[in-house]
Amino acid sequence: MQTEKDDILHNNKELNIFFSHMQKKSIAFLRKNYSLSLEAAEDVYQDSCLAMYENIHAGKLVSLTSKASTYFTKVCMFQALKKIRDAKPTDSADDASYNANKIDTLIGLDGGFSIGQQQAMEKIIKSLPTPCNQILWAYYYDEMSMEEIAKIINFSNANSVKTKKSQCMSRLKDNYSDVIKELMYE
Amino acid sequence: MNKDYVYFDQQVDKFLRNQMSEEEAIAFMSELSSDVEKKERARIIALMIKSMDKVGIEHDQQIVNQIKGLSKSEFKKLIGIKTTLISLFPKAMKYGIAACIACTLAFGGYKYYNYQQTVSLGNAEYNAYVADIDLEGGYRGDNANIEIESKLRALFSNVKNGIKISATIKELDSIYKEALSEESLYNNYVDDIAWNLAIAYLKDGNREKPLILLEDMIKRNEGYSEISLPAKELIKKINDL
Repeated sequence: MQTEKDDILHNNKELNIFFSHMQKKSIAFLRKNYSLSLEAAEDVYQDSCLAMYENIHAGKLVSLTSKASTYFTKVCMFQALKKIRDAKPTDSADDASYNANKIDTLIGLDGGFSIGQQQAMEKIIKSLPTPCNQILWAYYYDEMSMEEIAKIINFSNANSVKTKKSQCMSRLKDNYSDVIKELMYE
Repeated sequence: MNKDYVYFDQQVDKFLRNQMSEEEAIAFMSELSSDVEKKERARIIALMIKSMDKVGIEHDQQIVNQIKGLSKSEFKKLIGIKTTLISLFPKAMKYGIAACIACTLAFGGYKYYNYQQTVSLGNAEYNAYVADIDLEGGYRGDNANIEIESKLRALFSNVKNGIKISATIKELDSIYKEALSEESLYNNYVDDIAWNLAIAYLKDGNREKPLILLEDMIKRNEGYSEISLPAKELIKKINDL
């Protein structure tokens, strides 16, 4: 029997995925950086969800200038500081994030990419087939773990996701190569 | 071939997250410079991540828009935030009371039906076991004690007719405990008492105590089907209720 909550979850799947991920990530972050108990971290997480909701509905957040996950983490930090007066958070909200310099290092090999090639990639990542779109976006953009992704997209285990991710990456590379070849002959 | 890339993709990830030691990073870059396929794959992964950062903002904006489209209660349901008892108390109280009443009515109704069934069984089964004490008169053997038999006759009459059941149960229960001792004058009538007490409990709506009494009757009279058989049959009927 479909409950009201089932309807809300079904109609807001992306939202559900986002908060499911942020809950785990935020609680781990809060416990590590603010020495909060599990219960306190859960309270801060929930307060942060409501604060984000209030900000959006009050018109304080209309359009994002950073990732939603980064914004939410900052809200968590603010809420945690409200709870603990002398808390000193680390400078980096996410130590395991991709390093912009390292990304540029790899991109810079063989002289970088043209604007056409960048636009081709943007087009490809917007139209990835399922489940590649879910896996690649969840892993590289939302920075979810393999275990989390396995749970959300109903794969049997993290290793299955890892293998599928690699296959998806191969498909994306082949697709990209074909698009670039067509561009060269235009 | 793809198996190699599973490990390779992990290495690319490690490099991009700045999680390699200096030596590892040097070895990684050296591998890329000697393998065109791997270098191209690593570059494309890096380009993909950078593109996702740019395109992802649009994706995240959908998150914001979706939140905007939800009411606070819907949002709380989605997040799994438990609503405070204080704010809901009057409402919860109202619904709680209604639920309690509904449950009581439903469960109370069921209990009453159950009770009726139990009483009916007691009424129907009284004569299934024929006591040696004849209610019309007479007494048991040479060891008969007229006084005791008169007392028991009166109590058994109450059980048969459903009169003063609670008081009768109390008295029969006391007598039964005495009757279990072989030295007691009531010992000769222990099974008569057990049967009547079991029936009395049934007529009082109690199913558990009759079962114990009847089981004891069976244990005492394993070789005597005249006593054990009615007891077994009544146990079955109680369990079938």
